[in-house]
This record gives sequence, C-alpha cells and structure tokens, in this order.
Amino acid sequence: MIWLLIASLTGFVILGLLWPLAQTVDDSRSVDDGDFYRGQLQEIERDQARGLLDAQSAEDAKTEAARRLLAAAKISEAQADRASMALRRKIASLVALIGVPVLALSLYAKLGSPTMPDQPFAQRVVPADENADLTIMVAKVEARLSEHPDDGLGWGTIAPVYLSLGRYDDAIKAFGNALHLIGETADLRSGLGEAKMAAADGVVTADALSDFEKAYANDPKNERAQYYRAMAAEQDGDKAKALTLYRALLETLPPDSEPGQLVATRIAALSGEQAKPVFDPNAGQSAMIRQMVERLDARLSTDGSDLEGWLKLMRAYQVLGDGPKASDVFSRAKLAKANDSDALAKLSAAAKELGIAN
Amino acid sequence: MMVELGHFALIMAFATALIQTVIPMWGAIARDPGLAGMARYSAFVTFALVLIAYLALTFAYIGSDFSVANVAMNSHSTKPLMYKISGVWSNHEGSMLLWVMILVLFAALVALRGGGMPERLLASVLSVQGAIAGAFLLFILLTSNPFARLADVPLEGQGLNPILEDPGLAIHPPMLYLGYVGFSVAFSFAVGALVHGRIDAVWARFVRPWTLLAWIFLTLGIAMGSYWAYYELGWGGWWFWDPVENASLMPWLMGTALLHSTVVMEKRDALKVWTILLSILTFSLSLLGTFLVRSGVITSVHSFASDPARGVFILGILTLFIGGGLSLFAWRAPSLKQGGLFAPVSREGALVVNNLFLATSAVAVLVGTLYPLVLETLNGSKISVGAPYFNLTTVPLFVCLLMLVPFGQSLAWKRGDLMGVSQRLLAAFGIALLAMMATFAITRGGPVAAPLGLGLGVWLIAGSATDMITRCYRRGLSVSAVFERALGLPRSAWGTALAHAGMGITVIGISATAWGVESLAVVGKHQPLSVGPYTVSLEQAFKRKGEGFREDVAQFSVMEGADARGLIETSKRVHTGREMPTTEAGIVTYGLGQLYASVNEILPDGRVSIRFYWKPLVTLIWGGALIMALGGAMSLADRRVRIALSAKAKRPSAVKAEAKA
Repeated sequence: MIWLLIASLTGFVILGLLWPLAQTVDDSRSVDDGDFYRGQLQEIERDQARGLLDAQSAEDAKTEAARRLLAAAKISEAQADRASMALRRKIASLVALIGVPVLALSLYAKLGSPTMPDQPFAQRVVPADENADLTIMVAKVEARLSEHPDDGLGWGTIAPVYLSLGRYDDAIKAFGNALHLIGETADLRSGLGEAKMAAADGVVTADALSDFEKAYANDPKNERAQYYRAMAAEQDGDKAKALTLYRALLETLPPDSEPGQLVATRIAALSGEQAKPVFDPNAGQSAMIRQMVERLDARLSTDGSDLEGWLKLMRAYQVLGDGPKASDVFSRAKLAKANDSDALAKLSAAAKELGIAN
Repeated sequence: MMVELGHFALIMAFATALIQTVIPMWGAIARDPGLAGMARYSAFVTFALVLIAYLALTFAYIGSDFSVANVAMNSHSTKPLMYKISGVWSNHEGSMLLWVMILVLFAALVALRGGGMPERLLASVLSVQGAIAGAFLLFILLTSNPFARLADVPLEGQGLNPILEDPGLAIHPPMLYLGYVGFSVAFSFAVGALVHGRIDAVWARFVRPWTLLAWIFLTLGIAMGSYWAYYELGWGGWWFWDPVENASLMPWLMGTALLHSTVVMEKRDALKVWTILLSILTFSLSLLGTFLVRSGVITSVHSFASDPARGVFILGILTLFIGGGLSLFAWRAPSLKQGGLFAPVSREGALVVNNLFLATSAVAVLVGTLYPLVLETLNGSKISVGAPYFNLTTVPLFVCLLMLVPFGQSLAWKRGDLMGVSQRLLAAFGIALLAMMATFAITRGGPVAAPLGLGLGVWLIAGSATDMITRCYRRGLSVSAVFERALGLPRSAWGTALAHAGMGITVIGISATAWGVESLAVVGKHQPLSVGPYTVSLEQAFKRKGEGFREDVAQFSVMEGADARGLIETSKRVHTGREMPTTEAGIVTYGLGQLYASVNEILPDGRVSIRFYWKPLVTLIWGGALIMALGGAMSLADRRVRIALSAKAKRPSAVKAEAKA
C-alpha cells in the first residue's frame, strides 16, 4: 500500500516536471521590457486625464519613458537554435525521469521506515503488562500528586519507585510525605531509612539508623529494619552484634528465599567461614550498593577533602570483600590527607580495625 | 502510512528542488525557453511535495502519533487541538520545515504571478529559490528530520514547553518566517539579475511587491514577538536587545532600506548596483538570523561546538549563499549598466540618505550581536553587550533619520526645492514644537527625553499629513474636489504617509515609556497601593484549576480617584506534565496606556508580593507597527506602473544631467 502511494506520487511528480517540455514554446507570450515602458506611458496619460498631472510634468515624464522604451528596444535577445533545443530537452527529460526517482528512492531507502505503520494515539493498543513504561507511569502519578498533594497513598506508592529509579532525594521527600499523611508504619519508616542510606552512598548513617530503629520498634518482624540494623552494626565494625542480628533475621526467613540466602552469605562472610566475595555481584541489591560505592569513590578522587567519605569508602570496600581495593583507598586517603596528622591517625586506626593491610 | 508518505514527499521535494535549480538556470544561460519553462512547473511540484510533508506531520501531531520522535518529544495527547497544530513549529525540526514550506510557497507564488515577467529572469529567479530550498531540505533530512520514527513507541508524549502554549506562539513564528523568507525572493531576483547581466526599472517593478510583502510580515512578526514577550515573560519590558530579537531587527532595517532603494530604481532607473547589494545583504541577514537562532550558537559558542552537525551545516549554507551572492556581485556588478546620476537635493537623494542611516544602524546592531560571540570564540571570555550599547548607537542614528523623513517625503523627484519644502513643513514643525512644549509644561520635572521623543513622533505624523494635504489641496478647490483628488492619489502615496505616521506613533509610544511608573510591594488584603494615576488593592488571593494547569491567582481592584475601574488578575501557573512555573501577567488597557500586574509570590499568610506598572501610551508602540504594516499593504495594493514626477519648476540643467545618464 505504502509503495503504491509512493509510486503514484512519483508518477505525478514526473508528469508535473515534464509537462512544460511537452508544450510547444509560445514566443509571443513572453513579455519584454518594452511592454513595461509602454505601460508607463499609458499610466502617465491616465493620470493626466484624471487631473493628477499637469501638462508640463506629464510631458517630462513621457519623454523619459519614451527614451527608455527606445533603449529597451535596442537590446534584442537572440533565441537559441532549434536543433540544440531538442537535444537539451531530451537531456532534461531524462534527468527528471530517471534522476528524480532514483535520488528520492535511494535517499528514502536510507532514511525512511516504510514498514512502520502510523500509530495515532486513539488506535494504540496499550500493552497488557504493566512495566511498559515506568517513566510515563511516574509522570502520571506526579501529575496526580501535584493536584492532590494530600494523597498519602500516592506518595507511598511512588516512593519505592523513586528509590529504584535512583531518585533518592525525591524518594526521601515522598516517604516523608507518606509518613506524615498516613501515619507511622514500619514499611514506610524503613523505606525512608533505606532512601537516606542510598542517598548517603550506601552508608547506614545515624539518621538512617534511627529510622530503622523506629521501624523495628514499631514492628520487630520488619525484615528490612532488621537487615539494615545488622548492616549498621557491621559497618560500625561491631562483628559480634552484626552476627547476632543477622542470625536472628535468618531464623525467620525461608532458607532458600533470596533474602534468606543474602543474609546467609553475610553471616558466612562475617564469621570468616568463607573468603569469597560477600555479595553476588549479579544480585540486584549488591549491584546497587556497588554503584553507590563507585560513585563515592569517583567523588573522592576529584575532591579528597572529605575524611568521613574516605573512612566510609575504606569500610565499604572491605565489607564488599575487596581487600586490595580497600588498602588502595587507604593509601590514597593518606596521600590526600598527608598534611593533616589528626586525619592520618584516624585513618590508620580505622584501617587497623578493619584489618586493612598497609 | 501518512507519516511515511510525508517523509517520502519531503525527500522527493529535495530531488525536484535540484531539478528546479539546475535545468531552468541552464535554460536561462543557453537562452532556451523550453528548459526555462520548467522553472514554473518544478516550483509548483516542489511546493506541492513540501505541503504534503507538512500536512503529514500536522496529521501526526493531531493524531498524537508518538511513533514519530518529533511528536513524542514535543506534544501530549491531552493538549488542546490548537496547540497540537501550532506545536508543529514549536520545535527545531518542525520550524525548519515551516521555514522551507514558506520558502517554496514564495517560489510557487513567484511562478504563479510570473506570467508577465521576462522568461529568463523568471527562470533564474526560480532557480536560485530552488537552490536555497534544496540546501535547507538537505539540512532538514540529514540533521533535523521531523519524520524520524521511534522503535519503542512511548505511551505518552513529553508535552510542550508551557511558555510556548500560547496564541502568540501560534502566529508569531509564521509571521516572522514569512518576513525572513520573503526576502529570499529579493535575493533570488538580485542573483538572477547578476546572472542575467541586466538590471533596470522592470526588474525593480517585479521585485518591489515581494520586498514589500516580506517587509509587512516582518514588521508584524517583530511587533507580535515584542508584545508576546511583554505579556508572557512578565518583566513588563517590550524589547530586550536580545540576540534573537536583533536577529529579526537586522533584516528589518536592511529590508526597509531595500524597500526605499527599489522605489528609486523603479522610478528613476538609478541606484541599481546598491539595490542589488542591499537585496543580497537583507537576505544574508535573514539567513544569519536563522543561523543564530537555530544553531544554538547564542546560548554559548560552546554549546554550538558540542552539537556541531546542525550548526556547521547551517554555517555551510550561510557561506554558500552569502559568500556566493557577494562573490557573484563582486564579479558581475561592474559589468552592470550604471543608472542615472541625480541631484543631491531630490527625493532620490533623500532616499540615499535614508539608506545610509538604515544600513548603518543595521551594522551597529550586527556588531553588537556578533561581538560577544566572536570574543567568546577567540579567548573564551563571556561578555554581554546590553541595552546601553544599542541605545547609544541606534537611537542617535534613528533620531537623525526620523527628523529627515518628512523632508524626504515632501521633496520632489529629480530636482527638489528644499526651501519650498521647508516652508510647507513649517506648520508641521510648529505643531511638533508646540506638542513638545506643552508636554514639557505638563510633565514639569519629569524625564527630559520623553517630550523630545514625543515631539519627534508628532513631527513625523504632521509631516506625513502635510505631504498628503499639499498633494490634494489647491487654493480655491471645493471640499468635494479635494476629497476626489485625495481618492485619486496613488495608493502607494497613502501607503508612504501611513507607514511614516505609524513610525511616528511607535516613536511616541516608545518615548512615553519614560513616564512609566513601577510599584513593587508586599500587600495584604484591601491594602491600597498607588500606581501612577491608579490605586490598586488586593481583593482576594486564591487557587484555581484550568485546563492542563493550576494556578495561584491574585485579584486586585483598580480605582482611579474615587471611581472603580474594574479588576485585574495575575497568577503563578504550574503546568502539569512539565513542573515549570510561569507568571501570567495581568494587563488592563485604559485609553492608550496599560496597567500591568505581575505576581511574584503569594505568601502563606495570604499577603501577595506584587509588581505593578503603569505604562502610559504603551499600546502605541504596537499600534504604530500595525499602521506601518497597513501602509505597506496599501502600497502593495498599488499595482500601477510607477512614474517619477519631477517638481513643476524644472530647470534645463536637470534635464541635461538626465540625458547624459
């Protein structure tokens, strides 16, 4: 169908281009400059008749126009001879007949998508599965929320989506709004903590920890709260506490579930039973954490003044089971803080505590 | 399928534009009427193809076909129909398509009206038009294709920038483009004449209506853009000497010069080479404007470098046509037959002065616009050349020019009588002086420049009136006879008078800005605030929902003394889709002035931070521009062959000079 349309359009175009060549040339039609000045003479006479011109100026104007008319007549334009005209016409017809479609089609073959149908909005079949386009969904919820900013459920729905999209600040805001509007729930509270942790490059800050503690107090069975409380202890270097907390969590989890395995690997890592990397790099969550750590790393590479950051980064790599990287960070931190003996002392203490080789 | 057909039509248009370029030019050079005859038909075909493409894109916008990338990025299924249609040119790709469509429309119109033109001239003109269209079509196809499709079709489009969701946008760009692109016809005529090797009054006769048409649209487009910025941006200003504005002002200045020099050429067969040069320069400035706006070079020279494909392509087109046009001019102009000489004190002499002033001010604006860009390219330093520079350079030039306008308008062709003209203008001068003094007296202690500017405006209007009166009135004529003479005057004479008077009106409006009053305050409910002759007080502040937006509205009542003069409303709007707040200014017109309200913020305690302006006579700025355009239209409607009338008392020496020419 599309090719039929393209073919007929091409046909009409060529017809239109070649049409004048099929006409016999009518020499009498073409207008020369003489006509212009003859028109000017008539105009002068008309104006004079209407009384807009007096005789003297009309005479002057006529003289000038007549003089120009004579000058124009002198320039006669030679016509081309008939034989070469016929040849030129043949060439022009061939160019139009072959050149235009070939150029247009080859360019269209490169640029066009002839097999793609029109898809006007009204005729679009919305795909059944819901993960079609997350950003559009988010935009819709946002539009709704901007009109109904007091819709707590809406905030609660969009907050985890923000978190998974990496829009941490928006997630913190959304969880906060939901908590404010719906009231205290362990899920929202631990979500807020997680968002804060994510915003802090994967470190369970004191602020985040207080959220996890609140969620835990509200619902001791909340897995997220339990898990991050344990991780906070681990990041603080409190192995024993971390292990206890992880073990308590593990008991409530089915052993072959994903969270169950995750917790089990943490326990294994902490108790030193296995030296393999704690996180499976392919697991979604660890990938996220990995990303955060790398971001922090990149930030510190450009600006090494943040001592807290260096400590966090060292700890993070050690926790991830990447010993060489951790000791590398340690030496980079020492370089960055070479003039600050206080910071150096802190760094060394932390390295010793984490068991980072110097 | 429509979309793909449109895409194919656009590509095909590129091919036919090439035909339109090559074959008619060949015919014109070889003096072959058969080949030259292809010019008109290929112009029609190219126009039809671009129209199909344009309609196909519009169709995709109306149907919200998000499989077209351009639609997905710039439209939304819930947009009102009007903004779906105008959304086509609200983005780079679509507006370039509109640009080309207007270009080929002009070519088709030239072809349609060209029946009375010498065949060779028509063929070369259309050939140059075809070349410009071909270059821009290739630019669109290779770097800014509006028909690019998306494999993953999004559910919903990204919507239109809310600032652009406005009736002003629907009209402003097409107007401006009609102006810009209209000058391409003058350019093509100039190149045609250079190729042709002949240029005379006939040439001027055919080029004049196109120049005039382009000038009318450009005048309206600039006025429209200025008013749009005035009410939409919420700053209360109507001209910012912004590079984008300058980009439209430069071709206007040059085009105005061209308009006047074409008249000299048509009537007196003089100023030929200069007119050709002006035609090339005017369109060059239009192209430069397109380049500045479309290449991203304005935001920063560096953003231009980061997406070089488009900018470099347009720069190439620019070099090709400006460089090509000027080289051709340098090569062929010396061989053109020079026009006649003329006396300095004459209508044509006055028009040369007009041309010099206009061209100089165009150059001044050009320097101010390009200087920061050049500097940034050279040493990376960012400076901005602002209003002080432009005011300092263009205002004196314009004041001088406008003071001379009534003289030029009243001088006779060939040999003017300066003394006689001065005597006739004495009354007009007196009126202007009187108006100035009266204003000084009334506004004692106010700004000095305003009464002076007002006097200048009155001088222009009175000068135009004087010219018309001296043409119609003779001592002893009855009223009905004078009236009849007035009707019998050529429409172009009326057009000139209207356009000059319109300029005077705009000048008055601009001068009056000095009397503007600004009041900035945080006000509570019913707390009066005085703005010039008015007192406003906050009636209520509330929230409201409209189609596609919600807004915080502040509503004020306006009092003049003890009389209530109605309400004025201004709001802060947030558009759904793009969380971008815009300020909706409240504008109420009282007489010729406007009260302008712009809300900054509605505070939580219900008080409103507000900015009010009283702008006396401000509507005259745009009203004058409308009258100027109307004058242009009057002149355009004058289809007569023009003749040059000399002064009645003609001296033999003038005739001799003429004969020599």
